[in-house]
Parts: sequence; C-alpha cells; structure tokens
Amino acid sequence: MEDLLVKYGDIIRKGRLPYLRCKKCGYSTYYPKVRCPKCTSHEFEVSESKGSGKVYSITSFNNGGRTYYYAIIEMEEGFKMYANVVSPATIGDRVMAIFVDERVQFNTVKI
Amino acid sequence: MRVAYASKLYKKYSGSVVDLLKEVFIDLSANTETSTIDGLFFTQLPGTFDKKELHFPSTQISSFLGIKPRILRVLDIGGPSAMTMLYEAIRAVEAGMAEKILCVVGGKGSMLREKGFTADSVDKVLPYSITPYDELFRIYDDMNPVTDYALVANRHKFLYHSTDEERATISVKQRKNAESNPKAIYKSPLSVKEVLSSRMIADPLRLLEVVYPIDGFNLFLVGKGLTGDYVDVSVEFYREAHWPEMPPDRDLDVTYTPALESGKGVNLDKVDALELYDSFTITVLLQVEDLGLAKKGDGGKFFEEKDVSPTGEIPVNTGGGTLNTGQPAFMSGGVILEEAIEQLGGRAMGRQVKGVQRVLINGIGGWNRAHSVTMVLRGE
Ligand SMILES: [Zn+2]
Repeated sequence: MEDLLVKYGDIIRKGRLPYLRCKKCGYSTYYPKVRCPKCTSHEFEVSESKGSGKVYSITSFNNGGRTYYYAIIEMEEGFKMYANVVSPATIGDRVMAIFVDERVQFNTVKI
Repeated sequence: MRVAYASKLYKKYSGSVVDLLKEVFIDLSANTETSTIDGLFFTQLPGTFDKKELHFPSTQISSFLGIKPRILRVLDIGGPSAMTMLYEAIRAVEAGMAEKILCVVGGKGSMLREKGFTADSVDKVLPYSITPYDELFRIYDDMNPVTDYALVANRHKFLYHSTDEERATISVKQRKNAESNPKAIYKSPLSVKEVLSSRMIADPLRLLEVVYPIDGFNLFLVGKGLTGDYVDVSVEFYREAHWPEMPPDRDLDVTYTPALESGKGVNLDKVDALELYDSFTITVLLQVEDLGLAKKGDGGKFFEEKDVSPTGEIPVNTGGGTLNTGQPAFMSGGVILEEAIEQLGGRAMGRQVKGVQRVLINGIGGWNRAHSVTMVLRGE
C-alpha cells in the first residue's frame, strides 16, 4: 500500500488522476485491491487517466453555509469513483478532473 | 427456541453507556431468570460507547453484567448484526455450546450526533480508518451515510423515474403504523406534503426521510430452558450476503443492495408481515425491490398502492420502524427484530397483525450497504 500511495501521489502532484489497470485483462479501478475481480490476477499497474468522465450520480448538501456536490464519476477508462464536483451538475453531464490543493475534484465541461 | 427481550430507547441518556445497559439488563432480569446466562454475543459501532472504545469488549461487558460465559462472540456488520446474533445464538444453543446466550445491541448515538457526525463519519473525530487507503478515499466533502444513500436515490429517480412523493409515502405510512407503538417518539400524523417540505439534508433526501440517532439497547436472551416471560420462535429462513467492494466498483448498478442475494429463495407468500431496515426511506424502497415484493423501480409505487398497516394486505414495519422510534447507536436491527418477536408473541397491542405466523426481517449494514441479512422467524 505504501508503494502504491507514493505512485498515486506522484501522479496527483503532476495534476493527473491515477488509477489501477490489470496487466492481464485491462480491468480498471481507482480503489486499491490485491486481486483483479475479473481475472484473479495480482498484477496491476498504476496508470494515468485522461481525466474525462461523466456523472453517474450526484447529490448536494449544505455544511457551514457552503453547498457541496458529492458524486460518483464514471471515467472514460471504465472505472468509477467518488468525488466532489465544483458546481451543480446532473447525471450524464461530462466532467473533467481538476486539482485543488492536490485533491482531485471534477468540473463540468461545456460541450 | 425461547427468546426473552428487553429494550430502552432515549433521545439522550444522561448517564454513562454502561448505566444504560444496566437499566435494560435489570428490566430483562425482571422478565426472566438471567443469573444462569452462560453466553454473550455483542456488537457495537465506533463512537457509541462514551468517550473511549472498548478493549476486549465482550470480556468487559460479561464481567460488568456478571456473566460467566462458555461462549463469547463479537460481530461487526452493523445494521443486521442483531439478526445474525440471534440466529447464531439459536444455533449455538442447539449445538450445546451454551444454555442461555445474551445478545447485546446498542449504545449511545447522541454523542456523535451532537458533534454532527455518525458512526460512518467517525473517522473525522476519532482515530478510525474507513478503508486501508483513506488517503485516496477520504479526500472528499461528504455527509455519509446520508450523502451516499442520496446518490442512490438520485440514481433511482434517473433510471426508473421514481418520484420524491413515492419515497415520502414510506415516511407517511410508517408514521401511521407508529401511532400505536408505545416506543415511537414520533406519532403525530404526517402528510406527503409535510415530508416534501421538511429540510433538505442531501438532495433528494429530506429530514423526514432520515432516521434520528438516539441512545438505547436491545437485549435478546436465547435459550431452551428460559423461564418467566418469553416468546417461542424458530428460524424458517436465514441468509446473509456481503458486498464488501466499494459501490462504484460493483458490476451491478448502485440501486441494488445485497438483499438481492440474501433474500434469494425466501417464500414471500408465506410471510405475514415484514420488518425492513429503515435508516432512510430509500433503504426501505430498495429492499422491497431486491427482496422481490415489487419489480426494480417500482418499490415506491408498492407503498402508494398497498395497505402496509398491521391490518392491511401486506403489513410492513408494523411499529413504524426506527424512522419513528429513533435509531439506537446507528443500528436499526435491534428495534426491528424486537418488533418481529413482539408480533410473533402476540404482544404488539394496538398494532398486532392478526394470526401472524411468520415475519420476515431484513437488515442492511454499512454506509455502503455492504451487508444484508434476510431472516424469517416463525412463532411456535
Ligand atoms: Zn484482470
């Protein structure tokens, strides 16, 4: 895990979104795991996502006078992840990863 | 198998958590002989036992209650722990591992509640990790579990065109069932309009769709030779399902819960009442679908169309559920299990389902709906 966190951290500091890709079958995931759920391989490589995805689901809530948008984003590479979106969005909207204080967030993309 | 029970629920208990446990244990002891208890099953969620976490919890609790156990177990699946403990206790007694096993579920929800957190966001106030990679996961602003269930509710609306009114109907009908439940803290009649005008917590879930964390314990004592006041039950169906992966990593859409798997093979035609886990309206709705009471997407319509009162065609959450009693220590399982046992023992007073023989209890656990337990108890 420590190795992986270092590799993820290096990519995040470059302003890119890291993910894990199964070397054998190509399955992708953001959340570290020991074994590929598709082909049972232990071999993952850390990859860089293009950062492009769409909103799978989203909610908003208020805390301390601020409105937050909390979502599941479905990435072009096939994996899904929890993330904050910086502005209102609806399911299906195109979004792009952005980095604020080395924290990945998503911004809506105008088409 | 004989089951005795006792419970106490408080919005905020002023004493310590063990004082609260002691109160409920003394109540149980007034109903049935407890000096011969020789087993303890225990469950607990983080941040619900006063200021510190318990080291060797089952030892501490049995020592405090004066139990000399032949069997000790701790379970950590949250919501459905109560059902699993009861099932395992029945099996252990049948296997001769102990004569009388006490199942303890509860604690204080008020401590985290007053800080604005829950057992699922406890890592923000206490040294807990939610995943082995919190550096990657806990970088978001959320209000889990409500925000996670809100994502599910919005996805459900998107995929199946379900409505806020449908979910609100669940609050309204459960409130009606709570009217004759002496343990309910919310009993005044409720309308769909009131639910939909209550404060938004996490879009689309509103205040009156969200359980209120309280303090309390549910105790269940299991044994063949119980004396005094008990209910005779047998387990007709029991199945667990665990989906430990993160919901975004699941193949199935997030609108599915592991109840889809734990409920497989259950005979709904033979069930006279259902007690479904009700942390949120959407939780109840999803179980109705995943257990097969309605087709996927129609869980809300089920509540609009069916009479789910104790005298109705299909009674659901006959005591109004924890949406109306409050949720002790972030687990609804003890409350809904006790309701099922009261129904089977014919003790449900003004909310008794006439001629009830079998009750289905379904528990959902974990902020990410990782666990589901489906159990059918039959009254003897
Ligand atoms: Zn693979």
